[in-house]
Amino acid sequence: MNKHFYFLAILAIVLFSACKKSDAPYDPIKPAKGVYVLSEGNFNANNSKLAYRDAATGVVSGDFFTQQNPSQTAGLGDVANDMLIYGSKIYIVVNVSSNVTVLDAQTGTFISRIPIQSLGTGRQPRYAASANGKVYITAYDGTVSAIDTTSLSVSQVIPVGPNPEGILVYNNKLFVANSGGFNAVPDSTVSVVDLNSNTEVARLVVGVNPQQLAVNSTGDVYVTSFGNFTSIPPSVTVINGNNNTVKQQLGPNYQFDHVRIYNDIAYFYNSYATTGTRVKTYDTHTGSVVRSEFITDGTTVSVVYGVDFDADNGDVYICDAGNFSDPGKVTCFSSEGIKKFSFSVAPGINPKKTLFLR
Amino acid sequence: MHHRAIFLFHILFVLPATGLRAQRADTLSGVTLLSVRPAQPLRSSNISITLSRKSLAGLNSSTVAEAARFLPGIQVKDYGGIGGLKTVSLRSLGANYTTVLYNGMIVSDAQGGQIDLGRFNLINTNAIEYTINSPAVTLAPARAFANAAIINIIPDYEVPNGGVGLKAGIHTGSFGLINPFANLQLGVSSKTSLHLSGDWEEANGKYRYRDYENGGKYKVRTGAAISEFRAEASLYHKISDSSFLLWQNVAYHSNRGLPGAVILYASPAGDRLKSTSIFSQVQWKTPLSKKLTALLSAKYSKEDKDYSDPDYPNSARKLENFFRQQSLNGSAAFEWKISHRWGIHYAADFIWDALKRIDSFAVNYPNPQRKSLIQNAGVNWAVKNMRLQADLLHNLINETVKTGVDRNNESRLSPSASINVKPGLIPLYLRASFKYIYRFPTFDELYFTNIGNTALRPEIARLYNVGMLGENSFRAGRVKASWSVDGYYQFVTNKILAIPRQNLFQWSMMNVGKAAITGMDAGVFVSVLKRKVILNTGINYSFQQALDLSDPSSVSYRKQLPYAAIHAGTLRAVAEWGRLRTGYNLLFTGERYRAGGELPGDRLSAFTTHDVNVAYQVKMKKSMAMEFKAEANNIFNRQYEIIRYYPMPGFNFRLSLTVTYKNNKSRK
Repeated sequence: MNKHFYFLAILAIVLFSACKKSDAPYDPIKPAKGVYVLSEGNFNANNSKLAYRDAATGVVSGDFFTQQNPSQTAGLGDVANDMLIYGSKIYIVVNVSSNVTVLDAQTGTFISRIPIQSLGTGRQPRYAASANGKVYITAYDGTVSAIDTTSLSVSQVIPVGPNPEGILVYNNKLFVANSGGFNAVPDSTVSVVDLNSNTEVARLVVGVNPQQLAVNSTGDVYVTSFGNFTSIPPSVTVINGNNNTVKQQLGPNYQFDHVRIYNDIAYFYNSYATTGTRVKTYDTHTGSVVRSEFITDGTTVSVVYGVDFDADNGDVYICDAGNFSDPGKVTCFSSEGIKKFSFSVAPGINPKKTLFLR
Repeated sequence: MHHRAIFLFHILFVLPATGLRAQRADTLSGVTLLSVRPAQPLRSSNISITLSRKSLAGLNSSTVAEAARFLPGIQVKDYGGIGGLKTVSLRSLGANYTTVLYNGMIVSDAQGGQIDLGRFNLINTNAIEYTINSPAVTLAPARAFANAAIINIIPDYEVPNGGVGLKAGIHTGSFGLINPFANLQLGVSSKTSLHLSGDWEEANGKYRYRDYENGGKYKVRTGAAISEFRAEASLYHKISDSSFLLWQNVAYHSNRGLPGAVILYASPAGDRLKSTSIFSQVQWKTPLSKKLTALLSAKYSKEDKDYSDPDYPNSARKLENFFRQQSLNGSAAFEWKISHRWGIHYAADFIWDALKRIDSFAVNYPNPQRKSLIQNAGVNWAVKNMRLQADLLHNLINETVKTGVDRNNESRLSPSASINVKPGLIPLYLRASFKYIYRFPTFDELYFTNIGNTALRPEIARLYNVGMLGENSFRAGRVKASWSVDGYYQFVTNKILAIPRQNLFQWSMMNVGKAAITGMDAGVFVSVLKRKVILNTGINYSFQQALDLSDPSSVSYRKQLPYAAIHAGTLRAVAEWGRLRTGYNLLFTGERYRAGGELPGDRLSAFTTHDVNVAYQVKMKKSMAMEFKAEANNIFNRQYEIIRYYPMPGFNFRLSLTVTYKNNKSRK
């Protein structure tokens, strides 16, 4: 009887903490052993790179993928756009080579390359999100491919809007930003896909050419849009992720095309801007600005190309694409916006995504 | 990023011969309408090389682009395969600094400034005249004086005395090539002749290349099939010994697949390009007095370029870029031979260029029109041991657009001068030259959707060259050698580069580049006559340090420019014995880098290719002859690239059969 009680208690604690990921004191996160940084490379140059920085030594291996997999002589491929760690594996979305490359998260060893294609033609995958043993991949041909993580193959293809970009999972639903960026008039919608039926259940209107999404702990989904580069500026729209309705647009002080949320603080930035605000932080509960410029010590970042967070200590890792042809670098800031350290990801060009290995 | 891919495509879209002994053996039978200069005139104050028809035949080349590889200082950017685009650049300046002339008249491309020399085949080419800074003959349109490198394609207008000349044949070979051709020269009267030529080429474009993903295996390059058609109809009327009237009409059409760069782990692209161009040009050369000659010319040309991407992920599942260019120009050039020492030349060209985008995906394309007035005035001075030439070129440009704001008028003055001195009694000559060039932005750089920048200014290039050349003969004239060495320095500022612009997703063109290019081109050409064998050999070597000075904070600062090799060289050898002719060609390109910064991952290894050819002539009747020719290229099957991820073919071959019929009594 006692044995069962202890077992149930432990089970309760584990389940309880799994449901409340954002509630840090109840869910101790191990410090990162190191960080992975994914770099896009140049268009049609087949030079995407995966770098790894060891947290203890600070040593950076710029071409970690080739170092760990010397038989993969050609490298990752063309324009690796996004990646995530799910379970024991890393899933890298390679946009122009049109595949998802799967590596062992602990060692970086190559496991498999999953083509994201339709009838032999690449779908051109973009971003990934994970849930329920599946990794969901948006692709420019207007689809979301569900990769089954046990068989490492595409189990289902879900049609959404045109040229989808960012994707996130909330409340057993997928929220997908339909950019429509390849059309003369871009799209301005977000598709909501119910993961029980794997079909689209709602399409909401947001800003023009939506790109990225982020959600806070109460279900507010923030969607950032590019605009049309001439008359319509970038914008931020907030969606109620619980009942699939549009709540509000944040107005002209929030002209940003990318957003990340950590601890319910939104980090807004423009991914191609070389001047102006680098990152603006905003409290998603009170609706007020935390800092109009996140960086407080005057550190320069030429182009904010990616923002990621170390859930262990709240550090903010900002990827700097520089002039888009020289190798890029990553700077780690404390949550107060003070630079802690920075490192080059050479030979990686256009670093975009940072992941933490624990 | 996707508009950039199409724009990058648009950017892409532009021994010393045989020695004097062989030049005599090379005399063309019948009458040549357009005189061919000696292979390397010693008194030329600028580099000047002519490749005659015989030399061209020995180069294992089927188009002017391939033959251009053997011109000193020239680099050909080849995107692979028989249909791959080929553009030509002098000393790392870029394809925009090369002017292409067809029999003395400009072949223009205001849209991209890059002529694809693969569209001019060698079947109907009598010679290629290559000069730097100034055209070989100063009686020329003003625009011929405007650029750094001038390649003049001289068509084959040989006319038997008042008779008929017919040449017909077929090429076949690797890549599934079938290329029948015919060329008819008709002496309509004793002074007038008609020239008709045509050829049609089909190739599946397939070839094996080493798989980038799996080095031990091979893949086949697909999606590169090409279908081409060329035709020319021209009329020549000789008014007197010093004047003529020439009317040329040329048509070209091609439909080709453009597989693009090899993308790892992905299927090949199905992009296609259809080009159709026609031009009609008239030249009238006439003496106005005993000392004054005029060359009046006019030209109209129209070119359609229809590019399509069938995998473009828009709602139509296709992207099309259909551009139509038209150009009209008139030129009046005068040469005044004041005395046997002095001469003055002046030319004025008026040019109208218009570009329209006519596909259904175009949104607000400004349809620019440009009117240019270009004038060149120059002076020649020659005494026994010295030749001097000085020119002043003026460019006046006015541009208007259908939507948007018109650019301001541009006016620029560019000087140039050159000198050739023979300091002693031996055949050794020294030469020096300088030239300032304003390279005006092309329509693509100014207006291309989301990337063009209408505030662009012209690039400025300052070119300096010093050289030495000479010739010697041995063994009672049976061995002739001519040689040249030229050192140069080129400084380019306001270079137009594609860079990311503030708050814009796509890249933009800006005048932020700067480059300093220093180098040397050296060549030796030997011609030997022994018993009945004529042997001609030419070797070129070039050394180049092309440094990027654009951005001191970048890794590319003071490093070699992309694709600029430090060492490069060519070797050509042709041996003739009676009816048999064999040749061997070698091309060497040293290490270079795909991108700036000389980073190890960007390095492209050095490569050497070897080609051989053999031709045999059979005399059938008094007036008919037949020639069989076999060419084997890259005989050691070297796997190489000129541009990263655009693999070049390994071993490939071409066979030709040509029949000529001449109704005249000349020798040969």
